[in-house]
Formats: sequence, structure tokens, C-alpha cells
Amino acid sequence: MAKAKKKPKLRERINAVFSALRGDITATVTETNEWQRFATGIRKVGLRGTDEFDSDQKSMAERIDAAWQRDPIMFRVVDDYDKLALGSGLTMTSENEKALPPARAIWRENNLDDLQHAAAIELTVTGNVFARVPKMEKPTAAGESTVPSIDLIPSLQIDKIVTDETGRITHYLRKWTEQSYGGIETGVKEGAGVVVPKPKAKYEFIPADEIVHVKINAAAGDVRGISPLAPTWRWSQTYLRTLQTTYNLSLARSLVIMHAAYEGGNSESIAEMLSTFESNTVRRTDPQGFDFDVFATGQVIGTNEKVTITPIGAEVSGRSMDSEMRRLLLAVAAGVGIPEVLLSDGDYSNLASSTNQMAPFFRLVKSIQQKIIQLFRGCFELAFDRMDQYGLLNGVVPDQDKDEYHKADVLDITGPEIETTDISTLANSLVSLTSAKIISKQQACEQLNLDWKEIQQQIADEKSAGGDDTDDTGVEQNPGYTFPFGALNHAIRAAADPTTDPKGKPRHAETFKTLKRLLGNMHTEINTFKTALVAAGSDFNKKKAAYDAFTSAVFSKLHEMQDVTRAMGRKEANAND
Amino acid sequence: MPTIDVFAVGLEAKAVNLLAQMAMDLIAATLEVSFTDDVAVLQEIVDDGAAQLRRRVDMMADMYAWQNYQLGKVEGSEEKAASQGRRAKYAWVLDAGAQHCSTCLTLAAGGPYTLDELPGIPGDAPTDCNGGCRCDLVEVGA
Repeated sequence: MAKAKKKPKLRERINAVFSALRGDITATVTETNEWQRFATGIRKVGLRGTDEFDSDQKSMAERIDAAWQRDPIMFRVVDDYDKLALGSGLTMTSENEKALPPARAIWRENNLDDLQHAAAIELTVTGNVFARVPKMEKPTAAGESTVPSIDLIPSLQIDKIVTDETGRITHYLRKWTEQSYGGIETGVKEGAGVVVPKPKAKYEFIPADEIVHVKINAAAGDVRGISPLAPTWRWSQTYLRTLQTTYNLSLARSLVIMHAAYEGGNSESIAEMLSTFESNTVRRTDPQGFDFDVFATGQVIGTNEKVTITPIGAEVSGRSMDSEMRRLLLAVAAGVGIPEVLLSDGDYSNLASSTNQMAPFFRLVKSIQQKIIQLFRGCFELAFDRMDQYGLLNGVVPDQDKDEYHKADVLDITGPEIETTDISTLANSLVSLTSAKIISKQQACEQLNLDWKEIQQQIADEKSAGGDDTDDTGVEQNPGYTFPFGALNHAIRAAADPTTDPKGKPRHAETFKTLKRLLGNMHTEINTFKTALVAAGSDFNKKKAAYDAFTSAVFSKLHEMQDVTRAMGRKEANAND
Repeated sequence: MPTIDVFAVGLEAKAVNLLAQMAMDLIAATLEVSFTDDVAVLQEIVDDGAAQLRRRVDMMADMYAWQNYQLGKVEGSEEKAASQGRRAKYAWVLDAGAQHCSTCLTLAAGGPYTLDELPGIPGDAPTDCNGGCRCDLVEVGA
């Protein structure tokens, strides 16, 4: 009978744990740290807590990494996540003046202005960013760099994340291939000089305390994150394939298919005509490898005057308005959280709904920004540790406080604000701009995606319904009277005998007609004045000439108005005799 | 109150000044955008300004017509009274359909007034309602 395997005693198990904590145990690579192949691609719950990244996901990451630089939709998503998240770039400040010089030296020498964008792209494409801050040698000679280096390691090169039995990460196994070109000889050489690089596979176990790792879309216990492009990749490919197919078909139709009409032709003459065409075609191959027959460029075919040849019109386009293609775009947009308007020509969007859709997307982008800031904070902590090790940060913060917080905590790393265009804020801004006459009302309406003609009609309707009751002439419109001359009209009508005219006409009817005519003349002069002002442009002399003409014309109307109303008043005074 | 003719000249001068100021306001509005070459903006400003000018001219014409109507009534009453060897007197009558300022209320409560005692004519008297006044001068005891 085989001897049963002895179960380790409790003490031995506890010792093993303590040994691991002390680092006594050599890190082992367990099976679960490999890129495992699962038939179904579904993770086993029990393997969580270690680097479990199945080969399906690794190959997906490789596909995305290859596609985003060729696929316009994938590129747009990656670019939006990067540019919108970082915009003008992260900013580093500190209230501790002594911390800024070494921090800025780290920033400058490691080109963190560019590195942050590379990190955002990496995070979007792979769901992970690995930054390495290696240990540095003590600078001994003058001129040696005292600044630690910060480098990004491509996520796909991190082949394994090594954990110990407790799940603590101990090392990152990096695998990559370098192209070795051998020695470089300067000067002009004879011969073809083809240099064939020799690929060399390399690997390195990087200690965990040199790596800063941030990730997104990682569930509890997941060691690696997942790219937001992973679920959308196939829909993007499908969309592009559909687009390409539509384009090819349209192109082929326009090139190949023609309509030939033979006036009065019979079957024999038509057959002869077709034979003429076929004998004059050439075979071409399209980029996808399909053969098709077409008339060669510049080819002349002789028929007769009864034959009319018309190419079949075909629209060569890939319209996003096709419902199937739009649904494909929507699938991509849903996966990455980008509003449809950013992935299409905006046919289906208006400003208000697009603005509403952008709000959750901007929050998503803000979270990406926070991840990059988190990466930078981790890198600066390690970098300051390296420098502090050799006393290069003396005096940055008081040493007696070092147990309370890390020296890098004095740095404040922030990202640019990410805000959506709030419709109400935009509207208020546009009102201010139009009041200040910086932009026209029409331009403001276009910003708000309003129809200018409708707005003009609305303004006109509101004015005719009644404008301001007061203006700076101090004349208040008397409520209850029609305008103008309403009060005057009322006064006449209220007289004891409103119809003293022998013919029974309302009194002073002609006078009111005259008044309205005179007022109409003034309106005409205003229009003339207006036209002249626009034509004058910035010419002040022309403006003055327009002013003189206007005032001269209108003053005479005023004088006439005075005469008729004064006469009306005199008549009224004598009317009650 | 000065003589009727002098008063009429004063009314006309005030209306002319007001109109000239309105026209100058429109020109001033266009000067603000003369530094741009944006014809669309200029057109819009002129359109808006012209619409406002039209409204203001309407208001001014309404006021001016009322003022001269009142002046004409006073003129007719004075001529009639002079021919009858008497002095005309006027009541300051409030417009039944309008709101009244405190000055007009005071004037209406006082009187009747001879021409010399009148502070002015409605629409051109030192009343709080200024040119919006639609009170009426009615001869009494004619």
C-alpha cells in the first residue's frame, strides 16, 4: 500500500509564510503565470490572484496593437483617449521650492512630456502601462547624471508577472527581440552594403520594486487590465470590411457596367456590338485580387451613330447613413464609450444631444487622466527613492518627517480640466458676445445649431407683438392706446360730437391720414439711412452725408406734422362753440 | 408760459434735437464694428439699430402730435377768448385710461389756470411722466 503523502504541519506552513515575507523563498514561476491556453477562453475563478492572461487575450492585445495604427476608427479612439485625457499635458507644481529642481530635472531628462502620451496610448491599446525606474549607481565623478531614468516597457513584452505563494508580485519577466546590426563602420564603402540585422531574443526578470504598473478594466484579483478596444475590435474590422466591399462594388459598377442602346437595332446588330465591346476590354486585378474586365484608359471604340453608351451611374461612397453600417459604428462607439458623433459625420446628431452624450465620455477620459497621474506619482516616488539613497534630496523635506509621508508627496501633479460644453453656459457666452457686437446673432445661432431664418421670424414676431415700453427718450407708452397717435385718436373720439363732418365721416379723418403718411415717410427715410450706413462701411464722411440727408428729410416731415396737429387742436378749441 | 409761437418753436427744436440724437446713436453703434470687415455683423447691427430707431421715432411722433394738438387747443381758446374780451382758463384733466404721476395729480387738483399760470402743456411740462403725459387741457367757463 502506498504511503499517504504527509500533510505539512501547521508550524511548517506558518514558517513558509514568514519565509516568504522575509524573501527567503526563491521566486518560482508557477504554471498559472504562463500565457495559458483555454479552450473556451473563460477564466477559471480559482486561478485569480496570479498573472493569468490567457493566450486569446494576448493575441487580441497583439491584434489591437497592430490595428490601431492602420484602422482609422481604432486610431480615432486611441487618439481621443490620449489627446482628450492629457490635452496640453500634465502639470507639476510644488509648494516646496527645494523639491522642484530635482523633480523638473527628472521630468526634463526623461522627456515626460512625450512619455505621458505614450503611456495614455499604451493604456488604451493594452489596458496596462508598465514603467520602469531602475536602480542607479552612485554618481562618483563630476558630470555623471544624478537623475534616475524612467522608461515605459511595452505591455506585450511583459510575458509573465511572477508572484510568490502569497500572491505578492516579485518580478516581471520581460521578453523582447533586439535587432543586432553588428559594428557600425563610418565612411563610404563600396558594394551594395546591405546590412542584415540579426535578431536576438532577450529576456530579463525585472524586480518588482523597479516597476510601476497601472491598469484599467481589471476585476478584483486580476493582475492585468483589459483594453477598451478588445470587445470592439471585431466590430471595427467588420465595419471597415463592409465599407471596403461597398466601395469596391460601386467602383466596379461604375467602371464595368455600361448601358449600350442601339437605335433600331436587331438581335444580330446588337450581338455584333457586344462582340466589339468584349474584344476591346482588358483584364485588370483590383487590390483585393479580384479580376475584372474594363475598357482600357484612353481606348477608342468605333461603333456607329445609332449606338449610345452610358456608364451605369454608381454612387461611390460609404455613407454612414446606411442603417447596417451605422449599427456597426454604434457597436464600436458603445464599446469604447465614445459618442457616435465622434465616429461619424454627425448626420444624426444635433448639438444638444451630442453635448449630452459627451458628458459620460468625458468622465471616462478623466479616469484615464487619473491613471496617468497615478503612474507618474509612482514613478516619482521611485525616482526620489533612488536619489534619496545617495543623499541627492537632502533638504527637500525634513528627514524627521519621512516616516509620515514620502518625499514625493510634496509634488502636485495635475491634469488639464476636462469639461463638456454645457449648453446653458454656451448660450450665456454667446449672448455676451452678441451684446458686445463681437459676433453677429446669426453666428451665435449657428453655434447653437439653430435655424437662423426661424430665429429671424421669431424676432420679427416678438417685435410686432410689442417691444420695449420705455426707451431713453423718457417717453412711456401709455397703456391701453394703439400706437402711434392712439391717445390723440381717443381724445378726438371722446369729444361730444365725434361726427361733425357733414358727410358723417369721423372728425379729423384726413388729418390722421396725413399723420400716418408723414410717419410712413419717416420710416422710408430710416430705411434709406440704414442702407446708406451699410454702404458707407467704415467711411465716416459717407456716414455723415447719410446722417445729413436723413435729418434734413425728416425735419421737414416734423414741421408738417406740427402744422397739421396744431391746426387740429385749434379746430377742436372752436368746435364746441 | 411763453407765447404760443415761441412755445411752438421750442417744441420743434426739442423734437429735432431728439431725432438728431437718435440718428447719431445709430451711427455710433456702427462705429463700434467699423474695425472689422465683417459685413454680416455690420448689417445686423444696422438692422437692429434701424428697428430701434423706427420704434423711437414712432414714440416721438406720438408725443409730438399730442403736444402740438394741446398747443393748438390752447391757441384756439386764446384767440376765442381774446375776441370775447376775456381771459381763457384751463383745467388740467387727467386721462381716464392712464396712470397718473404725482405731478399731474397735483396739477389736476389745482387750477383752473390762465395761460400765464400753466407750467407747460401736457407732454412738455415739468411733470414726472415727461413726454408720456396724455393729460388734457380743457378750457373751462368758456
